[in-house]
Amino acid sequence: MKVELLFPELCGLYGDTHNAKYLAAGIPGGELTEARDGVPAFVREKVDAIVLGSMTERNQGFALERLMPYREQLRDLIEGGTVFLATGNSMELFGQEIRVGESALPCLGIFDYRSVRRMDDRRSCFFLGQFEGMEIVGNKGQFSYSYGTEARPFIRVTGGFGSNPESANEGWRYKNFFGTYLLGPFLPLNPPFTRYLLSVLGSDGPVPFEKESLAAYEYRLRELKRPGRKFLFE
Amino acid sequence: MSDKKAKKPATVRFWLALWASKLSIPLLKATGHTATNFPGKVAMRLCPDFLSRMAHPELVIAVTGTNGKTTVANLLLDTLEASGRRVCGNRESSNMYSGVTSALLKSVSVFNKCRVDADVVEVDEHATRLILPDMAPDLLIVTNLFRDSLMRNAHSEFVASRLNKNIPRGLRLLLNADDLISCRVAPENPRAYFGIEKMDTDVTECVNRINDVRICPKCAGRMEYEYRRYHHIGRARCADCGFASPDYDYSARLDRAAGTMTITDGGGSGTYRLLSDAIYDMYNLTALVAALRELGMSHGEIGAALSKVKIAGIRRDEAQVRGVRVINQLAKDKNSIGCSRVFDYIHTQPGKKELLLMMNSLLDEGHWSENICWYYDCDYEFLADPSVTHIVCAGPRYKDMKLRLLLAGVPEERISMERDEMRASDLLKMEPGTDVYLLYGTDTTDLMFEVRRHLLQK
Repeated sequence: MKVELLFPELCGLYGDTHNAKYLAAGIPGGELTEARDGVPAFVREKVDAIVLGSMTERNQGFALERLMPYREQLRDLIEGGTVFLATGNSMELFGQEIRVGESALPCLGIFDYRSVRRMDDRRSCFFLGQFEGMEIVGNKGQFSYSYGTEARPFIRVTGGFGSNPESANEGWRYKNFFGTYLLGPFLPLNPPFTRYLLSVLGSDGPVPFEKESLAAYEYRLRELKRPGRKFLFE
Repeated sequence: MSDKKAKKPATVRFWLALWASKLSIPLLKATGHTATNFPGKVAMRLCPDFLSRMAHPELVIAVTGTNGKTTVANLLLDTLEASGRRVCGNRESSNMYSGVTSALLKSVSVFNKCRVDADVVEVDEHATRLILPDMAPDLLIVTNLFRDSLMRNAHSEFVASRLNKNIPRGLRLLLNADDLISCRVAPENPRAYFGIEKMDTDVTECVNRINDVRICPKCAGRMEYEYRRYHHIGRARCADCGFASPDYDYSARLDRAAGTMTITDGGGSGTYRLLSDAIYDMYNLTALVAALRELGMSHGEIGAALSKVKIAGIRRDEAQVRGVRVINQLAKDKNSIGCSRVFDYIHTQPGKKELLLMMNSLLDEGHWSENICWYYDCDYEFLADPSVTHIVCAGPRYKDMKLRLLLAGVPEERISMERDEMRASDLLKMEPGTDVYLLYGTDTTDLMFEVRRHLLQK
């Protein structure tokens, strides 16, 4: 099985690239693959999962330039059930547009949500949420927010904020596409969800370093549920 | 000495702020408190633009950047003092407006007369917004820009964009030509560049997890490195559009065998003893000498002053106990590049090494818990080197550290963990002939000294 780490030279902020590595390491015989000369691996070969991560605002433009020619292929892969994990602001690329002041950066248009970038309004939080009975933990830090994601939310927020400051839901889920503003090592921090994602990929084995990963996850859950615990970073 | 005219006239509010904040210093001392940031807060509360109404000396230097700004600012203070000048800086207070104000209160009399020849202040990158316009420095040194605390700083492009907004027009800049992020700030401002010529340890491909100049910042083309030190630091050129690192105005050449660097500029050259054999200290030294040359000191004067300066031991110090060298080394929490540099340095040192990792952000633990995304930007992989025989993870994030070490390829049998730092230090094997590194962050400095004392007395 192949996991594509999409454009790590563009989408490699905050340790997000570890998600692809962690996922590939959890699949027996799993292999990591990358684009060549700016052309994604999914164009030249079958990949089972595509993982992309946070990027600078400038790199969002470069990533869109590279992906736009493959928009229909990406749509087909999503409809066909290929696993996608888009963390941080990379989920915005799959929506309609990113509005920046009076102008807008057109996105892939695969999903209906729209994003708004406000460089003078950065919000960060620790995060606790629920997905299909699993507790999701993590971190967020955003200059941009998505609207219209309520139709197909990924995670219900129990601590922190959602896709936008007013939303009680975080991210976007459609078939096996999982988009979330949660950033960094999302999978190593969430072994139950990693196990779920591995099962979608047909693997029933343990997640890499499961004992240690679960120990850190449970410790973090206790911290996040501590009375008086703060979530928003000020 | 003569005062530089304050940017704005003194007002009633200013005089009240000056006297109240000055009065707070002896009051704090009398009540057993340290006068670090509080006097500055008092001044700011009464007069928000206090620094712009305060008298400053003829020479004002500001230092900012992700890494090295404390070292460069302190070395500048020491060297200027050793050359006979009276100086003032924020060595003992924060690099925010209140900390800088607290520090500079000492430089003026109750009549707002300046009593020093030079102010040298370290400034947090975000605090440049208010401090630079109010202080109107003669020179701003930007050491480098890297990823730092992501909650606060997001990414280096964002911090660079903030500096672009915050740096006043006309302010002269001293920039690191080997850093293609910071060397491009405020392009309209007058500037000089420093850098280090090709070294025998340089590479062309990046071996680090982070490389924030993998693509051309202008056209997204592929960057080709003529030489690279670490991460994006080195000399590069875009294969597509020709965008390239600027030429050096102050060019340093390393003589590793002699333990010296020769720094050459348009007016001559001087040879200087290295502060340490770590590359980041070579950049600190180059920035220091370049800054002093910008101020008009000759290489001879700089060398003479530097020979009188003792390098402070808070960031790195060592002691011997029962055949073990115990080294305390600052590895700033939430700063993936800073820690990567330390890990890289340690793994290249000869002999066996044992580590106690206690760089936890304790201040974050009070309300939240530390955001550990930076662990995954940091090159923990260097610690998988067989010469690193044992690693003890300590403090609130000990479980996260262990998982990260395992993912970095460190064999489980080489890792121990214990939440309590003192008990964790008892897990160190302390085998004769081993170098034991105590790695600590800014929040765990006091704790490190306790642990160190405990180890040395055992």
